[in-house]
Amino acid sequence: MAQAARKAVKSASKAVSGASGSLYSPLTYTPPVAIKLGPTHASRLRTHYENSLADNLMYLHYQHHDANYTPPLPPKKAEHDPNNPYSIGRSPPRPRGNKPLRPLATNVGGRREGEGPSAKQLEKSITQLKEIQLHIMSKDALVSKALLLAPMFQLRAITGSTRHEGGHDSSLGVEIIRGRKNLPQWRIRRGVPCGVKVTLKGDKMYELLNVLVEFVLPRLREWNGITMPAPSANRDSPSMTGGVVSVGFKHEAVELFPQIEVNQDLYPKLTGMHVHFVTNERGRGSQNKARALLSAFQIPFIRK
Amino acid sequence: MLLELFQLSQRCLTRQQAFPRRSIIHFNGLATVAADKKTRIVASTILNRAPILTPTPHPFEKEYYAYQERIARSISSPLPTDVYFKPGSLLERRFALEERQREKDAFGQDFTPMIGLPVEDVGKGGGKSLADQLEEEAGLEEKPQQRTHRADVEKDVRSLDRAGERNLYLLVKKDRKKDTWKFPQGGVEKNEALHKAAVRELKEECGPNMDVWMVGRQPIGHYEHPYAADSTKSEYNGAKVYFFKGHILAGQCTPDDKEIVDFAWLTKEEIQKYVEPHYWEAVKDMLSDF
Repeated sequence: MAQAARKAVKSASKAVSGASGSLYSPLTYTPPVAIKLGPTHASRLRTHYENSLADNLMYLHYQHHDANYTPPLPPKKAEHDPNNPYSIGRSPPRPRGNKPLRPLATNVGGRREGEGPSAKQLEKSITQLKEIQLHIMSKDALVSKALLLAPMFQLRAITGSTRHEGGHDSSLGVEIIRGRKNLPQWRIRRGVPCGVKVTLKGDKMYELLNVLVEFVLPRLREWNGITMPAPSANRDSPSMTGGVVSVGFKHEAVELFPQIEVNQDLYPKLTGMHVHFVTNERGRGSQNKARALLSAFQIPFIRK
Repeated sequence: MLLELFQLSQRCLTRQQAFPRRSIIHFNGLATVAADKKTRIVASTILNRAPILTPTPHPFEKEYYAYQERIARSISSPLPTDVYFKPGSLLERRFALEERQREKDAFGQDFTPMIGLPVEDVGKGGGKSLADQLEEEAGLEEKPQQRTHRADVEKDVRSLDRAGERNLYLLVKKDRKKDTWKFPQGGVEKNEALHKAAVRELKEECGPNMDVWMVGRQPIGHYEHPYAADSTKSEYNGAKVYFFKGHILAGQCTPDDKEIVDFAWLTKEEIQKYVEPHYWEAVKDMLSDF
């Protein structure tokens, strides 16, 4: 912010003194102010979340135990006895422990009276949508970088997001994803552009969610909802404890976005994309909480 | 390293459990205990109709949004019309005309840049100018519905269409002298779970014509009060009321006119006028302000 303001003052003094020698032109003149665009309307889904969903999610996910409560441990297994006839000739059981760490669960409530988080912190701990990320991985781009332009254009059209839009430095617009590792079997090399992504937050995020739920998903053929992981799936895996719900859409779904649909001839090759719904939930059970939030926005889920 | 880990894990296995196992609280058990103490356990449902309209912005908010919209319009790059419209097409001319109107609405006549209108094809559109055609179409457009419903004008508190911007709650009236207006409630039967009792009582009092979704199985609030000396329920000295939240998805309350004689869908402030002060104190924090 301060940097932007300093820049603006510098450019203003330049414009006044005319030191740069350029003439005033209404087409190129930028006013000497750091404009930060605010919301232009009240977001419908955000209002829905604040007025109806937040209350319900707090009641649904409220931890009724006090802070010291630990869920009962599973029944203890019988200790390994090498002299037992069953154990003779068998290898001893794998030692316990040495499992990867998982984040602590974020809970609403679960505090003793007179201590713990304030009402504001409690409000923050209610399940909420942090951001939505759209992501396209393009295999063709590994061969020719220019082929990344079509997915970039596609994401620009869908989200309308640009770098530093509305004077907000936090907005990164459509970003290029580069390879992190050399993977010869997939022809990926370190630093090579292989995809694009865009991160939406705040009202823009709710706007995209609204379009997805109102225009795209109801018209999708042979798609009944986001498939949930099987009940036997590992509860402590990173995908189950990260609080992120991810779904992939084929190009048939992308065609249904009104921004694309209005002028489909412009996009000769539409590609499918991944949508990641990022919530504030972490730890065991966070996947269920994130799904409860999304289904309240009318995103369907189905069993495997 | 692995051996150390193994030994550590073995030590952990032999250690006493740090936390004693905790039994699950049974509300049924609570009910029987309370019955010995002559306290009646009651389950009540706070049935909510969520807002169906977005809130009307405050005049200041409205002005702020209009201001931000003008800024957004002035700093955004213009639409590349040659990409989206066929040059010289009707759509292109229509867009240019509409865009000029939008600029005029945002910045006023004096600040509107002259957007050159593409040349009009003579003979198309039945000899009418595009401006006339647009005006004609505007008349045919379906107007948005009113934000106030007929029920608001007629002050019909039984209608579910009233006060679209607010959360409404169902209050029922019992035929007695005191404490007439309350949320639907009733006593828990023996060996019945609290949350099931709340749904059963709601169905008994308000009829089967409601599609209801209960928000979880946990009560959202609790209210304890003694009975008066001349109470009809002489075997109890008081009651513990557990409130559950529900949402109405479809249908309407249809009371039997015997136990329940009237019902109303009310906002938070209106509920205060209907119920007794002690009841209001107990329930006010469970209701949404919006």
